[in-house]
Amino acid sequence: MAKEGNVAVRLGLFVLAGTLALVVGMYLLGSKRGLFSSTITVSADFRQVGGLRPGNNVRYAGINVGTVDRLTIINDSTVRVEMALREDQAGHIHANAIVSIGSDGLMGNKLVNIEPGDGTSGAVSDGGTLATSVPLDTDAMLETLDRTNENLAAITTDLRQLAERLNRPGSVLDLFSDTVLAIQLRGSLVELNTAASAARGATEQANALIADVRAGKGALGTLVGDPVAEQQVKGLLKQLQQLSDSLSGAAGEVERFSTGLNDPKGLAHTLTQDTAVAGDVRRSLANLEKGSETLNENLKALQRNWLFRRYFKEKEKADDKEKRIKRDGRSRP
Amino acid sequence: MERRMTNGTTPPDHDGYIAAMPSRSFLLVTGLLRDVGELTAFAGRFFRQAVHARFEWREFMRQCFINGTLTLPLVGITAFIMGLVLTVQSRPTVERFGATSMLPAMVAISVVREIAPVITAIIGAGKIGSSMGAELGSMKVTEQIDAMEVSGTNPFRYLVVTRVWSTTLMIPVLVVLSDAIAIWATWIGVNIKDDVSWDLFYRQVFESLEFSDFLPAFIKCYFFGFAIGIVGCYRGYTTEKGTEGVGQAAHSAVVTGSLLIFIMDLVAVQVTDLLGLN
Repeated sequence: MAKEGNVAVRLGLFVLAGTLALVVGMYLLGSKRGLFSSTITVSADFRQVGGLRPGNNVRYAGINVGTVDRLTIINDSTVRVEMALREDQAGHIHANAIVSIGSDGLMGNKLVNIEPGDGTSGAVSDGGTLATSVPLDTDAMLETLDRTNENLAAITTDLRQLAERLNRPGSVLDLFSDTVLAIQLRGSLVELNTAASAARGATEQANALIADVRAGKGALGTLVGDPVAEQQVKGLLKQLQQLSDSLSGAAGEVERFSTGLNDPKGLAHTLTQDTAVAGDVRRSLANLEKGSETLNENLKALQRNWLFRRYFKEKEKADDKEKRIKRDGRSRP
Repeated sequence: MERRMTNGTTPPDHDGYIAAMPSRSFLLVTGLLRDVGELTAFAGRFFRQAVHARFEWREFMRQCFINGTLTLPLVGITAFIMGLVLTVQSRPTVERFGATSMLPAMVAISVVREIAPVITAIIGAGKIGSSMGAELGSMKVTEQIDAMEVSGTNPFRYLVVTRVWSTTLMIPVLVVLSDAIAIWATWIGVNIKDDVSWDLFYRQVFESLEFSDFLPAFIKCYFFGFAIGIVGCYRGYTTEKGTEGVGQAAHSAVVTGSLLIFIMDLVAVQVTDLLGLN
């Protein structure tokens, strides 16, 4: 009898342990779904819900505050998502909060995110509707990511080529390690500083000069401030204008002359540009020179001829006499 | 002319064996069909007598103690080892994806949905089914069952109904406890390499688990328990051929019970899928 009682106790313990494990497990599963706490129902309308299902979590500020209760297609462009939010936490959610659909990590389940409102409105009430934002489109995101990856690959290639060029001897980087250049650069900077100081002094002087001119001091000031001088300057400028016009006319004449020179039908152009004519002229000049030499020999032969010898002697005497008279006249005071 | 080998024994008759194959296959198929039919009739008899005013409560309690309480250590050790090993073995795979934080959830879902129910049922088929087959078989061959009938006790109600009810109700309890033990072992397995508090661990586990993970698995355990009990009792209750038949009854109770568990698991998965609970 005692043995049977012992069996019953041990069996009772076993069944109790199993039942307790079952009840605790059911409670933990149910509490996650809000089965043991009072909830309010809030809805939000989306164009598309991106795979959201009843039972997905609803998060507010990163904390699970409820679950998706039901999805209903209202019309061809609206899906209504009804959410069961725990009443004790729904008091913190404002009526102007924004609802969006996200996912739990990159590969996680879909969930509804409630972004806090600005606090100007009261807490959302049972049966209330929240505004929505467009859910994140994973396909579009991946497409953008793909383009970004391609761009990144191109940039990386360019960077690699740039780095290779920079690492070559004689590149810009050598300048950074050149100590001589650094010393020269430092000297240049000192000189630049000196030049800047001088420029500053010159600027100050120029400012003083301009101030004097404005005040009518000095020749330039007088010129700027005196009406008579102004008239004279105007006259001078007018004359300069006339001179400029004359020069312009002269330049026009020169231009026309130059145009004439460049005219292929003109003589000057033929002489300067036509190589055939130039060759003819050159040959003619050579013939002339040859003819001149022959004529010179003939003249010398003529001077020795008895018929003309007298004439040449008389001419020589007359020339000598004229030279003597000129010399005497130059030596007298 | 009969052939004889050098040692005087008769060589195996290969030609005769091959020639007899169609008839053997036919016998196998007809035997299988006869088993299925008789098992169905046996189950129908159980359902007819399952709820009766003169229910053998004392025997039922004793069977629950044997099939539940005394099976718990074996099932508990197996569940502990399965949870620990599954965690340690799964870790390198999830580590490759940098998802070690998902290890508790992954192992817990595997344990609750499949590992704990099937392993517990298989252990039950081995321990409970074989003991039932052997016990009832020996009672059958020693004509104790016939003696019970003569003495006015309904042997089916006393022996079969109590045992089948006990396995049907105890296997789910064993599965719930093995779930708990395996999840605890998973926590230990996770903490071999990581440092995860129990508080964080059970929150991760129950955050990932759904009713749809637990309820179908829990419900199919009743069918597993029923299958273990009815097969064990059927094999023992229909034992023939003396002591040799007792061994065959125990053996076939384990084999048929295990096979039925896997078939029922397959059906349960399909039904769960049809109901949209996967």
